[in-house]
Amino acid sequence: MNPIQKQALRAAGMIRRRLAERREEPTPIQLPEDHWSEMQRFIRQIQQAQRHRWHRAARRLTDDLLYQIDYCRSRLSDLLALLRQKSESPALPALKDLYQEILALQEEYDEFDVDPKTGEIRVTTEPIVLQDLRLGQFAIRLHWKSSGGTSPYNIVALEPHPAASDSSVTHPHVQSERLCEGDGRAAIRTALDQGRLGDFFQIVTQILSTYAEGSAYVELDQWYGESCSDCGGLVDEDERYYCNRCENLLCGECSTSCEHCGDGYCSGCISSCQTCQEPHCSACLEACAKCCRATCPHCLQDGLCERCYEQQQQDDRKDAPADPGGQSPAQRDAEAEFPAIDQGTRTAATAPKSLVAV
Amino acid sequence: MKILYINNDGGGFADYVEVAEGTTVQAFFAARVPHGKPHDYLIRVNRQPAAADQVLREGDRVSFTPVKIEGALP
Repeated sequence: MNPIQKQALRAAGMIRRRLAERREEPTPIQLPEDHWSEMQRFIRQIQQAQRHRWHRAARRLTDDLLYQIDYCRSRLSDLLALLRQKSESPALPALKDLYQEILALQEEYDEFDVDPKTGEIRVTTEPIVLQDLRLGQFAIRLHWKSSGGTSPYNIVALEPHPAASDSSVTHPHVQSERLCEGDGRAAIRTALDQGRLGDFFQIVTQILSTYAEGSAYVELDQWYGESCSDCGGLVDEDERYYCNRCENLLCGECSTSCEHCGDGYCSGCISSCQTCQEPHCSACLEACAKCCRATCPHCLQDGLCERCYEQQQQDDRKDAPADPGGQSPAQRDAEAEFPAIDQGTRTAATAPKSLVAV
Repeated sequence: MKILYINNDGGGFADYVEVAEGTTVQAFFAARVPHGKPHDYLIRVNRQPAAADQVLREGDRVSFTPVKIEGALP
């Protein structure tokens, strides 16, 4: 018997004892009550948002609710699988089978190590490449001494190429050395409970070799960072802005604030007042009642843009009949504007141009 | 004859099943995973890769593991 065989035999005995101990342990039955309360809270908030017609908030809260429902369902499925396993109580694997399982790992993986002292079996995967992104090799480390409450294994990137936005994400489905098992969760638990170590390592390897788009900690197309939808430059996590209308990601330089409401917008969603030319969002602009030009609240007077308003004023003055004192409306305006000036001293130099013209 | 059949798809399953003498790996796969394609699975007999025409024997351990298993957010 060579040293590896000796260690494998010793490890097989320890794993068998550990499996037997775990079957004696009481089953932890914990319902996802906190998440249930959270879902009820989201439902109340969604109803409130709908009453106030806050459509965007209602949409975001609905997304949060969906996530919580999915999480709750997943926890209940785990509990169901756990209770079923306990009730079926399959026989403990034979020592010979566990020994062969450990030795077979040596043939399956180029790098393999078993250490009875630390209670660890470690294998190394082939280099993982997902959609041309080279993530390197990963070590899958199974700790058979760990308690059943926590994940008994971790995933270590041997040549880490973490996501730009989060250095703890070394694989789309690995964060802080923890694998999000997804569809493999139940199969992993069953394999470990039955002492099928080869199947356990194989399932984990296949999860690492698969990219589930839409379910990753960091999606592959954002691995090197997210890009600004306007200029295309990469945007740091703490310098991200989102257009208030289309919700596209923007960098600080490309996010333009509306002069009236202050909200940020992308170049495609921001407009400008056709009078003052300052940037404004479409919600803050109104059409001039006469020429229909988009006008900001600051430049809008009586529903008219500045130009149309002035024109309207001039037309009003022309149209208005002279009063009994022989003064036109324009003259009366000038009177009000220069109250201290005596009628007899008024000259062309002190009078407004409009008065001179009249 | 009886063999140990392990399917790591879904919830994971391992049980002894009865098969006829002379059953090949290909025939066994077709019977057990009628809607699956062999190239979508890692197929092992006694923990070793197996040929499609390999004939199963009493006490063999046959496992099917999907090539693609999707991880997900917790």
